[in-house]
Amino acid sequence: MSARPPEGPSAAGTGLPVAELDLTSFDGRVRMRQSVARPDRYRHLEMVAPDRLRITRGGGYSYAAAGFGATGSLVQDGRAFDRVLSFDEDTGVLECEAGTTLGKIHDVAFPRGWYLPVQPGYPHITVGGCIAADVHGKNQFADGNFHGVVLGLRLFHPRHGTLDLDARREPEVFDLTCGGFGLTGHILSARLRLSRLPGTRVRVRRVAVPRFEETMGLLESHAPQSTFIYTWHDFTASGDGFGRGFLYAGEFVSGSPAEGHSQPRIVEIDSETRGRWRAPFFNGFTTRAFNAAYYRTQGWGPESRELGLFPFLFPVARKVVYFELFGTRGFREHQVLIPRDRFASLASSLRDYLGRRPTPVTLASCKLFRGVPKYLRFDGDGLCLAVDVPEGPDGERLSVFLDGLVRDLGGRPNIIKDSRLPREIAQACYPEYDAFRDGLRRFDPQRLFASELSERLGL
Amino acid sequence: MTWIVVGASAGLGRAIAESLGREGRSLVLVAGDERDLAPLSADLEVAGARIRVIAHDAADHAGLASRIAESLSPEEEIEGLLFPVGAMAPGDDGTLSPEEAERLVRINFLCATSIVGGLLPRMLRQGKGVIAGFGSVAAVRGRSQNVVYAASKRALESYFESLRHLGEGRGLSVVFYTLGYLDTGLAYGKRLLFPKADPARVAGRVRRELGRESGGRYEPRWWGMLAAVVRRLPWFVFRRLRF
Repeated sequence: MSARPPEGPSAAGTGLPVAELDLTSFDGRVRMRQSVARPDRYRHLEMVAPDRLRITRGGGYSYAAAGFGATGSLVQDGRAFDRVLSFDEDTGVLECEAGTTLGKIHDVAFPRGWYLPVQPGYPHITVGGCIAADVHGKNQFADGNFHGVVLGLRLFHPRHGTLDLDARREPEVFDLTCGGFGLTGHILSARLRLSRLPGTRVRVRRVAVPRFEETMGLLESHAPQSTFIYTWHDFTASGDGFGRGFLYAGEFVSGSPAEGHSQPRIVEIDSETRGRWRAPFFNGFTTRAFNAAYYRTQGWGPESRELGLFPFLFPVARKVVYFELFGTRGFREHQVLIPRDRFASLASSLRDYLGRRPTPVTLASCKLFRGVPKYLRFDGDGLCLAVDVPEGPDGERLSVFLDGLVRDLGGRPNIIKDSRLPREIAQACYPEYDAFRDGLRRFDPQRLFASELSERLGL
Repeated sequence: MTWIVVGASAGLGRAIAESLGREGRSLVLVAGDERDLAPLSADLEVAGARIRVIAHDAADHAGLASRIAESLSPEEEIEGLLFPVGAMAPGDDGTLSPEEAERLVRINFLCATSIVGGLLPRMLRQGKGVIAGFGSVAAVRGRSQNVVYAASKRALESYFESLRHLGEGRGLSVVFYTLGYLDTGLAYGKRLLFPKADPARVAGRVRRELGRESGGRYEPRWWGMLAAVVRRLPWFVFRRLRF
């Protein structure tokens, strides 16, 4: 009746028990059987044979299969390393292990008057994942990408041992690691720069966007008075109404009362449960109806409303059903960053394509970006457009169209959001693709940390 | 008012330590590797707990018992002494070397007897406190697998029965948990007959019960029924089972 003792090292080239698991990318498009170890002690990380290919997996919320091993790789689940190591309430510097979730950081920081200024929308995403994917939030134009809050990090690589990295010590490896998809090594911990909370609530103003072409102007005119800003568009509306939607501009309500930090409600979802409904809800008809209903209901409410910080920062925590509606087959997300002066071309091309090829775009959303690109980071100046479509022939056609469009407009696709992005497109859109690949090889000639993503992109 | 958790760095021990730490308790956390204790200690201190750590191999039970006793101030009251500690060994099929077998007995059994032996007079003097041991369903009936592991855990169960008898009417609450499959490193990657319980949930239940009563418990509870059935299986049936 008891578990058998762990298998010996010969079983998997590790001294750790290994499970053969069927993993699914969050978008549902990549399914692979993987050898997964689940270390929960530091010595476990050193027990893997030094020449064994490997990759670290965090919460598993990446749309691309960045946490899946390349052929022959061992996947190391890093979620047991989820402890907060220190928090300086005077400076706002928090140090934590890489498996620490954003929700846990919020739980620690919020009652003490601090918050992490850059974060994606689901609380179970790990800090290591945020570093590896160099994620952004709804305030990218003001606070930049995640690498901007990383003061330093600790990295384990069997060839180099444990390294402490920051912008001064080992700057090249630090830069390769922030936005490096976990390919430089196992991120052990990080020191993060938190921001003081100007208030505990966020006031969100809603502004109508009559047509997609007006998006850039509206974002730029509202950005100076906003801390957070993003838009939602209906790309299934035709004619003049194409891309109609709303701009949402959020700012902290200064002096808002310090509320008790009750445990916020989080609806659980992960890459395995997302596709638990076999049949997808979204198709051409239902998507149009869904978008039209969403457009109307959004328009009914007051033009300004207040939200607690947690539901504002982590909207997905209460809206997981949106992802479940794609069913087992899943979806595609394209997130592209287009230079400001090419927005008009983007808008007219999209209007033209979607007019000719009606496509069930379930979500279209824009953010304003400011930053300096480096390596394969999704960073720079311009407009970020995210588009979701159900997996299928329409989505496939849209992918091909957007690949060409983003390349022709001098933009860049977000590698971590696109589980099928071809190597040629990544290479064409990221001028530092070769520099990144060469940097990885200089640091690790054996390229021990390898994933499905790195294999697909030729890294 | 201090809680001592032996085997605190992973699995159920870590989950129990986290449960107590979130209550802001004073804890002495014991495990073999400083590298695992340091982050746990830091995390629980941020959560408001007061932590001391002792990094010491549980197989050196006498040395460990001394270090735990030395870590406590003379007037410090021990609220709980918990032993979610254990070790298995590959090839525990009756052919373990004497050294390997002795190591299992030291960790699974003598570790508790040495530490309790050193602290029991103090706990009896204070007239209150909780002592909790953690066994395994592997020890319900001896099988051809995990031979020494099961024997050492059954010895531990007998020891805790004695402790309960000894503490009766003297303010001690002595409880022994027989654990079913838990989703920890020991069971990870194994195809098992029954589902694995989440250590955090088990730790939550254990924490709620600690100090309320003495005796034996199964965790998860339904393992009690299964163990009763297995215990009553006639030999001609049991001998054919391979599990």
